[in-house]
Amino acid sequence: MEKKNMFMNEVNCSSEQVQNWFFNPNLMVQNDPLAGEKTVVKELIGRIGNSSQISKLNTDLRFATTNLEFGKLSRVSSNQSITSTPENAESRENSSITPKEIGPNDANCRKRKAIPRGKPKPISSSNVSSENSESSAKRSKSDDDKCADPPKDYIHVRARRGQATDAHSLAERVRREKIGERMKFLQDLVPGCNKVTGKAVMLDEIINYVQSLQRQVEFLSMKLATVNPNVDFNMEPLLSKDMFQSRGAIHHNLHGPNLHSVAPSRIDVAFPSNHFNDALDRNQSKQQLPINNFNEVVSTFWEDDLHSLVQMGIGQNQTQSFH
Amino acid sequence: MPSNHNSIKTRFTYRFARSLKKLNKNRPASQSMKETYRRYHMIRVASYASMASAVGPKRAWSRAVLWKIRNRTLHRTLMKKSRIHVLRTRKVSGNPNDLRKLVPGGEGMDFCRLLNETAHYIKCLRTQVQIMKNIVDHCSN
Repeated sequence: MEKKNMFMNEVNCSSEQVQNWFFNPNLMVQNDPLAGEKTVVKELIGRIGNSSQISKLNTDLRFATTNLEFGKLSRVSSNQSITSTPENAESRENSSITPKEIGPNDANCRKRKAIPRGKPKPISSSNVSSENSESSAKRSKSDDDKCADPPKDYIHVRARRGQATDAHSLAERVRREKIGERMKFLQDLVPGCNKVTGKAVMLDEIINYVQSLQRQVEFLSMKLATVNPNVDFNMEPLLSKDMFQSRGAIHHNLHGPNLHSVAPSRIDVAFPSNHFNDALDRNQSKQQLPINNFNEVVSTFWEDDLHSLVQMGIGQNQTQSFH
Repeated sequence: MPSNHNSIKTRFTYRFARSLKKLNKNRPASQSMKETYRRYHMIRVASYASMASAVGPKRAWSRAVLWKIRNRTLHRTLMKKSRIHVLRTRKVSGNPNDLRKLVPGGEGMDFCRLLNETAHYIKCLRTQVQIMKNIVDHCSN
C-alpha cells in the first residue's frame, strides 16, 4: 500500500511529466522506481503505441486527461492484454474506483509534502510542482513556486517536491547547482577524474593537479636556467609544435597574418610612444623586426607594466620567492 | 573559446621568449650555483608574469599575479638590503583553503568563483607548461 501510494503521489504530482509522457513514452519508464508498477506503465505505453485500439485509447486518454485537471492521474489497471473487452470494462471499473481512492491519497499526498518542508532534499527526478499545486495542471506549472522572490529576480528556479520554497533555501540550491556545474567542468579538465565522485575527493584531485602543474613550471624554468641558450629564438618552431599538438595544422605565418589576427582583438590599443621599442633596442639587436612590429600592435597598459616590472626584476639581484 | 586561447598562447610565447632573451643577454660566462638559482627564479617569475599579462586583466588570478609581482618589485626597490627568503611549504590536506592558496587571488572569493578561476588557471598553466617544454626542447637540440 505504501509503495502504491508513493507511486500515486509521484504520478499525481508530476503533471508536466505526464504530459511529456504522452509525447515521449520512455520518460515514464525511466522515472519509475517501482518494479511492480513498471508492467502497468509499459502496458499503458503499449496502449498508446498500438494504433488499432484508437477508440479505446481515446477513452482512456480522455479519462486520464480529465483526471489530470485535478492534478492526478487515474489508477492504472493491471491487465496485460489490450484487445479483450471484458478486461477493458474491468479497467474502467478500476478507474472508476479511483476517484474514491483519491481522497486518502490526497491526504497522504499532502502529508508527504508537508513533512520534509524543513529540510530540503534534492530529488533527481524531473521538475515537479510545489505544495500548492493540488489544482489543475496549468496552475501547477505556474510561478508561485518561487513566490517569495521579487519579480525582478532573473533566476527562475522551480522548487522541487518536498523542498522548502523560501528564498534562502532556493538561493542555496541555485548556488549548489552552480558549484556542481563547475565541478563537472573541472572534472573534464583534470585528467583521470572521471571515476571520482564526490566533492571532497574531486577537490583533492584538483589541488594535486594544480600543484603538479606548478612543480612542472618550476622544473622547466630550472632547466631553462641551466641549459645553454641558442641565440636565435625562432618563434616558428615554438608555436608550430604546440599548435600541431593541440589544434591540428594551423597556418601561422608569423609576420603578417599574426598581426592581423591579433590586431582586431585589441582595437582599443593606444599606440604608445616608442619608449617600449627604445627599451628593447637598448638590449637587443635590430634583427628582431617581427617582434618589434608585434609590440606596437599588442602593447597595452599591462604590457608596459610587465616591461617595467621585468626590467626592474632583472636589475635586482634578489631572490624572493614568488608565491 | 578556442580562438581566445590560441591568442593567449601566441601572446604568452612572444612575451616569454622576449624575457628569456633579455635574461640570457645578461648571462655571465661562468655559472655558479647561486647565479643559476637566481636565473631560475627570474625565469619562473617571468613565465608567470608572461602568462598573466597574456591573459590580461579580465581574470582575477591574472590580476592577482601581476599585482603581486608589482608589489614584490616595489618592495625590493625599497628594501634592497634586507634579503628575506620566504620558503613555501605545501600542505597536502584540507580543501578549500589549499585551493585558495594555490590559485592566485583565491583568498577573497566565494567558492563558486574560486572554481571558475581554478578552471581557467588550469587551462593557462597547461599552456604554459606545454610551451616551456617546447622551448626547452628547442634549446637543447
